[in-house]
Amino acid sequence: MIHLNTVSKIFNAGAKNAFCALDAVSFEIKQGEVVLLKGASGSGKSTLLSLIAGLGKPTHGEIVVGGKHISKLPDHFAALFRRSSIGFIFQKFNLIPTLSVFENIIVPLIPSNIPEKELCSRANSLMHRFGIAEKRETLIKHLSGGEQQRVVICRALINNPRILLCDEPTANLDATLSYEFVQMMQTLKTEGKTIVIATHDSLFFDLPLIDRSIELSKGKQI
Amino acid sequence: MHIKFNTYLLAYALNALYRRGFKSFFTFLMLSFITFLMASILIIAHAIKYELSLTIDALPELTIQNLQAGRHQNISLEHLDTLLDIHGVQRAIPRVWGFYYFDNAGVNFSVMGIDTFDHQTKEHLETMVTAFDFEAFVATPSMVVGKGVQRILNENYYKDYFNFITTEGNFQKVSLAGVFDARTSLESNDMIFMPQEIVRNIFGMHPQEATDIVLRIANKDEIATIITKVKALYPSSRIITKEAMRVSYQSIFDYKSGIFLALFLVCLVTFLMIVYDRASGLSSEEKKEVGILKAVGWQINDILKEKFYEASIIAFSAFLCAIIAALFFVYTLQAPLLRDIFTGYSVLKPTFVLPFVVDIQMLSVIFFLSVPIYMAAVLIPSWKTATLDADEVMR
Amino acid sequence: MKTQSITFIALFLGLILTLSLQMFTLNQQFADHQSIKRTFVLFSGLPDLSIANEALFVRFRSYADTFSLFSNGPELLEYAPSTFTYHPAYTPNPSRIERAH
Repeated sequence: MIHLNTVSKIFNAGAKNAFCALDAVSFEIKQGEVVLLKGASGSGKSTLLSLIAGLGKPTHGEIVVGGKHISKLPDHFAALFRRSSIGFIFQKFNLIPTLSVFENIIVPLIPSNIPEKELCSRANSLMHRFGIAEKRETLIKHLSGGEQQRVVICRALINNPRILLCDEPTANLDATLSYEFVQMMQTLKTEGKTIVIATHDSLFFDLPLIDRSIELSKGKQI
Repeated sequence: MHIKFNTYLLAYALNALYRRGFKSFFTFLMLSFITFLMASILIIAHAIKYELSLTIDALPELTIQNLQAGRHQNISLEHLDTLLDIHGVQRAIPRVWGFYYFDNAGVNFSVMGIDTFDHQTKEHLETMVTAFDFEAFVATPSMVVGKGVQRILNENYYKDYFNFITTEGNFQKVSLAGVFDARTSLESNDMIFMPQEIVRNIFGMHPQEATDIVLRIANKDEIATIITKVKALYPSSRIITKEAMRVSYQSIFDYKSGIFLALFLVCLVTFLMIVYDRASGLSSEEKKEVGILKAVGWQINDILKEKFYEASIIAFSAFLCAIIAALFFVYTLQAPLLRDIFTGYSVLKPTFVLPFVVDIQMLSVIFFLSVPIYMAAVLIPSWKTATLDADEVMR
Repeated sequence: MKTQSITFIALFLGLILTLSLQMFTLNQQFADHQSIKRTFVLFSGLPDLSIANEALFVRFRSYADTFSLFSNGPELLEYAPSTFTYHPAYTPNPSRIERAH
């Protein structure tokens, strides 16, 4: 499903302040697997996730997701790929604070211009499922951290992607909410989604949910 | 290609404008105001130009004046029959007119003598003056005046008559027989019309002399020949053709539009400054939003489309509002404040009833100076941001 | 979200409608102005609009003054920009109107 071959990422390459975030990372993730990306902050986990999502391009190496060479896709197709195959849960949520819950959730659907009925039913079923249906019209800035997290999950799932990428999903949550998140992931796993969770939260380390761990340190795979 | 109109995108754009509430409203207001100013000035200038070209059409083809030592003198009427005999001349009409300075108000009235025996005079006056009694007008010394003259006379307590002071220092009492229709105010405002004998009496003119003689000519092609013949008859004459008037008006307007261009440039510079302000980049929130949109799967053209809608909503609404406001301002309110640029140094200010003309060329000038410039100013920085990598933008 | 778009489109069409209505009304209102103005000029036989006139600046300069058949020369002081703001005539005995201001 996800195949990385000696992937490196150097920021500001060639300049004095060049910084190597990833150094020759290679691994493979099969369909339906839940993989944990471990490592201290600054070890390159977030960079790796954004490369898999096609948000940036690796300096060297090759990334193949679902048979597509993400690292070589032009911007136009990378966006299409993200829309159809990737659900991204950001560490800082990256929601649009002045939009309501419903509007934030449907943002990925807007360019596809699907019928309003379908759009509403998809959003509504997700909101029900993650228990934020009653907050439908509330603005994001009035939500608590846990509620925002659920909105992010709904937004990530609205296009029914095969791959879910989570970047420090529990960094802004307390213990109870973190546990809730793990349960949500569990349900998604049973639906056959491929999930990559990048975290340094020890909560995840010995969970039965996790199939495999990959550890990074200073951009290198251990 | 998928060209179905995306209402979600439009709604998103509307929402984005609404979210940026004050900023959007301010941009809209500034854009409307500048376009409104530009439109008002152009509409007024264009209407005046249109009015002048319209009045020139009704002017006599030739006006003959007498010069002595290069100065304008009265013209003798003895050659009138000779002039009429020139082939192609339909009518030769001697005119008596001049300016009467009314000391109390510091105003010059334009006084014109009319030929009461001319069969058209009655007809014309009855068209232009409401409830006009021609017989009464002829019976006693009377005058027909423009709105502005009436106003000044009223302010100086002359309600029904006015005492002109003749060159000999006597009073010539003339009663007020009527006031010209307000619609002609742009032409008639400072004018007084009365029978020629009375004008002669006031100005102390000889009965066998006139201010000038106008010739009505049916065939335009004969004008040049007629000028040569008149010149041979009256070597000292100055002949003004309708065509010369037209050309001189044109140059006046070229000259004046230069001045307006200078004023206009100020507007334009202001506008470009606003545009530059927008073009110099998006705010960090806007940038972050672009990044989020890219991250959740929007393509560059989706983002540009959304920004295009945003810019169009502002620019087109502002343009329409500005045009509506400008038309209302110029034609319904008669351009308060701006009117003073045009009538600034007059004492007898006319009511500013301009002709209503819609000129596509003028409207497109206003359009192209406002809408596309603003749209470019929004789209270019958005495009710059949208082409960057999403994670780079969000950082 | 669709309601918003529809509201906006309705408002926008409203603007266009207002403009068209305004143009139509103005056109009606000013339709009869041209013929009466034409009659006046035909009657008076004099050019110029009475936009600017006062003691120093009479109308019909082209007819009244030999040397200013509106040429495009730079000596065209009457039309120089300063005259827009410059008030030329100072009268020691102000008129009633001036006193009123």
